[in-house]
Amino acid sequence: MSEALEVIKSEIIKRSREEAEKIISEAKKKAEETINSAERKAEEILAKSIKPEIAVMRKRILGAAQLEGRKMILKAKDEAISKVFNIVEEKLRKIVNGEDKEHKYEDILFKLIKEAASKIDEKELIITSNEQTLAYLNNNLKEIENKLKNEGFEVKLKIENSPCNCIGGIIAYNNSKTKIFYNLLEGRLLKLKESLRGKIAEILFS
Amino acid sequence: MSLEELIEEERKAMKIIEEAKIEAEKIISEAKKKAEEILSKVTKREFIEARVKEEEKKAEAEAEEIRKKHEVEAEKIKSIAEERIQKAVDLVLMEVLKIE
Repeated sequence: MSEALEVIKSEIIKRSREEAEKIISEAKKKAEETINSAERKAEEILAKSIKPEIAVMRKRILGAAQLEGRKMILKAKDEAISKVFNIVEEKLRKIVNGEDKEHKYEDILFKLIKEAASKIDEKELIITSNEQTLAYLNNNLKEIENKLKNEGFEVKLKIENSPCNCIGGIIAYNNSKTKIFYNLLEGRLLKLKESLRGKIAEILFS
Repeated sequence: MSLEELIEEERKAMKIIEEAKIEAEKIISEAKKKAEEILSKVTKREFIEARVKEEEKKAEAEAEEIRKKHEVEAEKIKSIAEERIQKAVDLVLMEVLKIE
């Protein structure tokens, strides 16, 4: 009898403990849900209140970084393109000085004069250039005139002996200076800087 | 005697459950208190400022990544192959000397 009583007693305590554990566990679960729900709601409130502010701030910071980066790339591209033009300028100096085996400056000069004669379309042309070119022209004026005549340009050439500071090429004008044709090598190069930019960029960066 | 013992045991059991209920109420009440704190905190200025600051840090880190990416690209541009430069030089020179 006493043994059976002990079993019942222990069963009563066991069940009550199980019940107690269940109550605590449910309470913990409910507490967790309450906190989670509050956190979610807090996040919603926060997002609503600071979302526009954060969006503006992000746009400002990321936009500035994008702009800075794009500037950096443009600068690098500009430098690369400038490098090409600097090399060409150096090559032109070599051509003028007769240091380039592929190009003969005298032939180029004749073509530049012929082009000027064609554009100005007058019987007399006054030409100026740098010291070195003027010296060559002074010594070969008749020959150039004859060559021009052979190509259909009957024109008398006069040299303006006040040299300009340039790489090479010529400036030509008529007597009254109403028509002036700049055919300097650096001028031709400068004109190409904008028009060839796209093609050069394609060669360098594509 | 045995009935009394059983009643006593039942009393003990009820006490255990009562105590558990009190503990459970305490847990829930603390959670509610904490939830209120969480909700009231989000409207406080310093919390909002801290959050904005946190987001600013994230954006700065992203901006740094963008800068690095562009730096790599710029470096790549700077190290163009010589043959490409030569090709561009040849084109420009040809155009300069293309006289009508």
